[in-house]
Amino acid sequence: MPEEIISSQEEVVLLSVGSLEPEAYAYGLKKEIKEQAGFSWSLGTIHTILYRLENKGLLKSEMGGSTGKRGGRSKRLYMLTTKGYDMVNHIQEVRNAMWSKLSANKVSTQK
Amino acid sequence: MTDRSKYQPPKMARWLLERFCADQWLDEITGDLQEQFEDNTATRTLTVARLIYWWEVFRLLRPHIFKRDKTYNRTMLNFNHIKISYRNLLKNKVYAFINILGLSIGIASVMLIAIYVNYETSYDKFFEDSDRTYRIALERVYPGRVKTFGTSSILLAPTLRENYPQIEAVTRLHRLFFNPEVPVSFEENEKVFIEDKFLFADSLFFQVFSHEFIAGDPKTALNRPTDVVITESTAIKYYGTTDALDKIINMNNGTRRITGVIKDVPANSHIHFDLLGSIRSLPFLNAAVEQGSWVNPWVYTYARLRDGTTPQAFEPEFEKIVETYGSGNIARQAGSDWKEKGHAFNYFLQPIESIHLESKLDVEVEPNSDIVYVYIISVVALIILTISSINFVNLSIARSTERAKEVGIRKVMGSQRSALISQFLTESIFVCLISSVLSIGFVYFTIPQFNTILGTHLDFSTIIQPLAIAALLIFILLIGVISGFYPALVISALQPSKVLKGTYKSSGKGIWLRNSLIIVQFVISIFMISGSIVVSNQMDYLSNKDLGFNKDNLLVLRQTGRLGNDYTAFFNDISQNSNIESIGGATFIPGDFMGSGVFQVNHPEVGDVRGNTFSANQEYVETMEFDMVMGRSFDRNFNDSLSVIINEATVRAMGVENPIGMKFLSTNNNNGPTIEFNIIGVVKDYNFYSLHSEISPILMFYGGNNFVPNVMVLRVNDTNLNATIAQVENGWKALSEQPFKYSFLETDLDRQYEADRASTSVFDIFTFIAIIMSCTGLFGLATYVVNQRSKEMSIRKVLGASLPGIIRVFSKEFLILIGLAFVLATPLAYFALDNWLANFAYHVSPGVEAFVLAGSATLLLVLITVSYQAIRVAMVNPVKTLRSE
Repeated sequence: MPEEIISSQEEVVLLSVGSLEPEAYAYGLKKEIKEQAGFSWSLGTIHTILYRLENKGLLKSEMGGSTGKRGGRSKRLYMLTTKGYDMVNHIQEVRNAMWSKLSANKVSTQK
Repeated sequence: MTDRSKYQPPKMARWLLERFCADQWLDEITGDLQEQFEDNTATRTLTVARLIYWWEVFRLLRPHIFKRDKTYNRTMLNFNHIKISYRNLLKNKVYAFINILGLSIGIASVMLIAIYVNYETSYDKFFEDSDRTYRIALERVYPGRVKTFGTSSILLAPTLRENYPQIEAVTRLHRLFFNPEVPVSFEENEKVFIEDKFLFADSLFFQVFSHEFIAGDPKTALNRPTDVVITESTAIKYYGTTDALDKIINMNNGTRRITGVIKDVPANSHIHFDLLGSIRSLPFLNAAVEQGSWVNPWVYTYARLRDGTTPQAFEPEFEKIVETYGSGNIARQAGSDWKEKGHAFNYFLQPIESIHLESKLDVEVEPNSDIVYVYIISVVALIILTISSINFVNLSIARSTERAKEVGIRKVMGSQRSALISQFLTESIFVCLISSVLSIGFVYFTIPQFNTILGTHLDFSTIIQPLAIAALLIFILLIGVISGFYPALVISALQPSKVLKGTYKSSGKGIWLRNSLIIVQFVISIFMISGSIVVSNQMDYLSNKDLGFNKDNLLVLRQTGRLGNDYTAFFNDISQNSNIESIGGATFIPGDFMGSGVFQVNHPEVGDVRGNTFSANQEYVETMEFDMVMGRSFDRNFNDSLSVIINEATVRAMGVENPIGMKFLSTNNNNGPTIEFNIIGVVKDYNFYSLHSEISPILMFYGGNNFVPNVMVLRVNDTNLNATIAQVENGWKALSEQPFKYSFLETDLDRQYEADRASTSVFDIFTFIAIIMSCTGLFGLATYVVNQRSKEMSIRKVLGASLPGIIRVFSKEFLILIGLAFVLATPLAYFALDNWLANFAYHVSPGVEAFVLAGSATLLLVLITVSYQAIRVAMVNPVKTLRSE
């Protein structure tokens, strides 16, 4: 089990990276987060989180190709490391377990 | 959509990003931003997209993105510097207080004075094309003397309009010189207002002066002689509303129709009026036009030159104008040989923007200010700023002893000298910033006081304009850098090895600078103290000088000419009152604007005499308590109707020993019979006008037996003053419809010095501030010197020195400086004050006492400050200071 605890902001970013792979870069993540979770985070915020997650070894990155739309600039593409994948996976399992207990409990108390 | 793709993100934001963003991130971040920008431009406006771009760049200011080079370190250090500055201020609350308060007073003074100067130089600039508008003034040369008029001939304006296309617009303005108070009444009610700001102009006035109309048409507003334009506040005073068009007001000589309501005339104009009538409603001006008078300068003429016509190019035309159009009339009045006799009419142009500060003619629309006062006050602002900066420098150097260890440690830890300098500069700019915020508060609260003292209308909003704020910021940075630079250099030059060993003593290098700064401060203090002593002496002199008559307890009643036949009844009625000692009457009393005339003398060796004239009755001479030096006063029992009493100045002008018995021949009317006036007496010179001007010849004619004076003077008793006034008022109301108004001659005369008094009180206030600030600076410095020499003093004490002895040792250094400063300041102050006093025809001399007093006051202040610190150190047990070695 991973001993580190990550913040929910970090969790959201990890989840988005995982779902956009292999095309996960900062601005794409920003749009994804806005779309999925409804948070309007600035690029600076996302950048800081990505930087932190990479330092923790949950993400890895490499410079990717560029498209004309970006004025010829290249993107940094992020990928989940195994550790990162395990982390989100673990969080979801814990949540699921806790959630089923909650809903069972809720159903029983309502009767 | 296609052209949208050409939009570029804001360049400044890009530049900023490149400045701080590390290379490893730059590429991808600009890419992300660009992509987002393009998305945004597709769906939103360009401005929004750009704003978002800025916002994102701003949000990217995060440590992990910053460049990791020297600049990065410096940026981080700057944050640290601010933090350290803040802590240092908290650590030494007294120093922080002296520093910040001193600086903020300094900056506030400068701001206030900047607002004041800005206001004084803004006069009449709000009129459209004010830079092309001029007043045509007259230098009138009489045989043997010159008088300057802001006024000109009533025919000048029409002549210019008809013959000179270089003149775009020209207008005439008249003010009632002798009796400015005009009663205004109404048909619909009983109200009567006495208006003293009633001016008269021709129908073209509003073509030259762009007053803003609330109602009425500027083009036609003064077309008829019965038209009157009033200001907004006058309309509200009369009717409670600005809707006053076509209302009728009553004047003494008929009704007037209100044809225009304008916004109130701004305070910063040299012409103020509440009502503006037509010059054609004044019979004597119409008569002057009919006669074609070029001799009498009765109206102000204002002209706007066409673009491209310079005043220098136009001025020579005036000589031709006088020659072509005026000479016939002048010859009729002054004889065809008027030029040979030494008469001349030299017209010249005055830019209206400069009238308020620079025009000092004999006949003005309103008393003007003087550019000298603007200079003096600006210099005072600079002085105060200098003092506060000197304080700042001295205190910072003084504190370097305490900061030495900190600097030593920083150096050992690898701080560069440039970093230390920037640290100290940051500190001084930080202090300046705090001070300036405080000073804005000061200004906000002192502007109303300043306005009451000076009678100005300064506005706080002047300094919250972007330009002013930018200027202020630059100014603060400048002050911060200038006053922080030297201390920064000194402190950063300390050698860590010496400092940390504890053998640090301030180097001798800085002493000459410190001492010269102190001398500068003392020079300023002595200068300002002696200045305010002499200035207040002069002001006392103005109020107390023997004017040649007794001005105490003189009640003045004006408009008494309107009593007409009831005058005798009124006179008899108030004579009953035992508290009224005597009652006199005249056409003009001291302080009034008088008429003048030229008189021949029936003596072959005595030339023509030009003098101011007025008429009076027998009681007037007694009531005013004039001193007769020759001859006799008027006497009812003689036939005095053609008698005249002159003053000593007239005798001097005539150049005779004994003028009694000589006759003045009136030449004012060429066709009428010559009237002879007997000189029956000479009064001691008395000051009819303010003490700024010399006494000139004054001729007092006898009013005759049925004389009804314009002004009455009542010598009253101190006792029951209110009852006396009430009784006079009752007597007045029984006989007259006019409202009752009275004043005291002494207060009326004092009003002549209002401008002087205002400027001197400003001078006094800033002197006080300057002295206080010098003292606080000195206090800080004394603390420094005393602390440095505390060990020396302890050893002296151990060896048996007494307390006075120790104080003497400390004070010696300062005493030498004061001596030097005294030697420097005295001639400076003497020179400056002598110049100022020359403004007054009658003045005190800047005596030695003032300088001695100023010197000793400074000395005393210094001794108190220094000995306070000396005693503090001397009282400490020597063991405490000596054992830590």
